[in-house]
Amino acid sequence: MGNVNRWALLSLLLPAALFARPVSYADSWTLTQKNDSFGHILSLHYSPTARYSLGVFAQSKPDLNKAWYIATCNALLKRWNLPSAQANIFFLSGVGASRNKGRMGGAAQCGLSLDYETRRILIAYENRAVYAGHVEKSFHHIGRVGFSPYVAAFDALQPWILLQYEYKNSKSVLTPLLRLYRNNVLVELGLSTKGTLLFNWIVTF
Amino acid sequence: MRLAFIMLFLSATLCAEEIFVEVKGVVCSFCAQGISETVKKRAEVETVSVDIDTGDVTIVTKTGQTLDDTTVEKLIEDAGYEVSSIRRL
Repeated sequence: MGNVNRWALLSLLLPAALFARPVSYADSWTLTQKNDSFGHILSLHYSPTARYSLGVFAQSKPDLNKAWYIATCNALLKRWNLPSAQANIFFLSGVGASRNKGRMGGAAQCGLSLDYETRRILIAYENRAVYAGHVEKSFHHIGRVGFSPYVAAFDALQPWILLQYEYKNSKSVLTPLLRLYRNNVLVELGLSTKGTLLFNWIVTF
Repeated sequence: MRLAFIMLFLSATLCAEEIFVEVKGVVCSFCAQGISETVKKRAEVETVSVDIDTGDVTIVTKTGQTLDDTTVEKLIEDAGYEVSSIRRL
């Protein structure tokens, strides 16, 4: 099995990271996968406390030949717990290695993630600076706004309608998407204005 | 009189306790799961339920057991949230 096929198989079996909460509750794991026009992201992180997380992160280009692999350390810088809302500022960081058709190099990334969420409204922004040798040098911005038509119980399905805007290396993508929450699982499905499919999922446990 | 005192003593020691906690910052099912899983780790806890719509958390303890307010506040903080108020039944 070639490198490309191995990566494709891995991306189906494992999980990603943008817009998964970078830190979860104490002693919990978060598994994420993201697929869109910028490529594929897989991530797994463990939160020893609700203040920081440690994990692994892998991202590939859409053609799967170029990728980088990062050991991550994310921190909750500030949280506002309000009666019917929550707002957060997270710091994202990591170092690792990059791969370009078998050629290896170093890699590092850092960024900020900000969100404000009520039970019916979501506003979020995230940026990430990436240096991955011969594979990637970029500053990635993602903004999201959306709403939920109703609030569901913990064990019931809650839908969200979101609009996502991504900008990286002079390329911008606008994607309307549907987010579905139920228990500890979140799934997102969208189609960008350029016709590319978005499929993300997150599980916490 | 003695019987009433014994009944009161037994009800306090042999009954489960219901603790109603008003929590700030609860907005989604991931929040509910975080609180539920964190509180359930305590041996004294029988059940936990989270109302996402109101942010109310109901903790039912095992028979004859309790959780003091400081412990409840610490558990909610470990999950990443803040306690507004605690009531007991």
